[in-house]
Amino acid sequence: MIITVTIISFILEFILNKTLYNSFLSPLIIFTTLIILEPYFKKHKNRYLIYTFTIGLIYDIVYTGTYLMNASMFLIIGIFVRLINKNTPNNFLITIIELIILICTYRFLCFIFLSIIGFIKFNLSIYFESVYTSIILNLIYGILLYFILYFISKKFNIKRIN
Amino acid sequence: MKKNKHIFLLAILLISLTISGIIISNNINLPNLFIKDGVLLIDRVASYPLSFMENNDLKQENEKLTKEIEQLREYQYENEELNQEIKKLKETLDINNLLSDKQYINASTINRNLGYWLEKLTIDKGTNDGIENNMAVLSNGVLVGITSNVSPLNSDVLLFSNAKFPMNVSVKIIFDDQEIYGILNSYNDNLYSIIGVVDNVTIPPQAKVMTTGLGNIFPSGLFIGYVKEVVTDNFDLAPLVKVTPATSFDNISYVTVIKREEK
Repeated sequence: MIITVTIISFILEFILNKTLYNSFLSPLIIFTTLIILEPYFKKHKNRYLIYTFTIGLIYDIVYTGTYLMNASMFLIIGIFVRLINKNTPNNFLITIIELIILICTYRFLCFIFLSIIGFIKFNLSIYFESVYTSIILNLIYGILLYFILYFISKKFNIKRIN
Repeated sequence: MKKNKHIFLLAILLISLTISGIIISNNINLPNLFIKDGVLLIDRVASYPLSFMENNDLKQENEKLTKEIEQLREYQYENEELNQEIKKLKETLDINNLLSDKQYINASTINRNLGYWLEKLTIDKGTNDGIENNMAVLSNGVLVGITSNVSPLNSDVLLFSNAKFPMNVSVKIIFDDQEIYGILNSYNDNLYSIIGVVDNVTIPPQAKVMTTGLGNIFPSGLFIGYVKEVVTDNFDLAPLVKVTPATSFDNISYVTVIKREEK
């Protein structure tokens, strides 16, 4: 199920990037998928982190050309997701809050990293713009994916950490 | 054991970020193997049914293009005549290359990255079609970027609207039969900036900006935009020419890659 959902998220990322590039919405479909998928890795902590790093690397190669940047960022976010899910109950409300915090964190880490290496100018308004263009669409996608995976896991008896 | 794991994770992160920083800041192109071509092929096949929904847009675009083709025929005859004249002059003067010699490769946009900081798009032509890194890319006849990360089937186009301007471009500002030379080196607030312009000439608004053909990448005569205003730099010393791009970076569906011809 995990691989199927990841492949679908890659296709969705491609379609949305192609259709929405004129709008103010900025999709982070693969990123959101990785956050929502975490409870389905059961107790395989390492496997989840390797998975986030690998998907990040593919994302770098296919979409951004920033080799290893998103791989590292996805890995950091993966560690955060692990920590949050370990210390909080895994329910709908917590997932939504987690998603918002992690989108802000991801954008902030990218912003700081790209500012440090001199790729972009340090201008906080750019950061805030990147956050508000990302949150709406990815939150909607995250909620939909959460419920779809929840019902699929119930129906096919797939284990999920609560 | 747990401490070792943390150290290992930290080491991976530090090494990855350092390598990534070097790659991004130096704009290094790495081989994509077949990952990019493979994933984009799957994406294109999977999103194929959606292309039927875009038929209405295609119809309108087709009508617009038909009209443009009619206008282009007129230019084509004139162009053929001028090319023959250039050929004869080249033979007479024994010149092999002109700064304006170029080949055209047309391509469609198959993916546009919305990674916010990185303005780039992916086109459906690669090394198999003769595309190489650092070739000029036009949209609607206007220079918009350069190719990078070229793989056998696809290439990325770094747009000039990118947060980090891909490279300095030698340009000329044309007005009243005069040509002023400068370097196009940044893009901010939807305007290009040209530095290195002489300060004893008054440049009027709406003067045309084109490439000079000096340097190894861009042929001469590629249109970039119109002068908006001339301001001075932060130290009030050198003039800074602000240029409005002649095309929008928002809607780039088809592009033309320019290969500089050298015999």
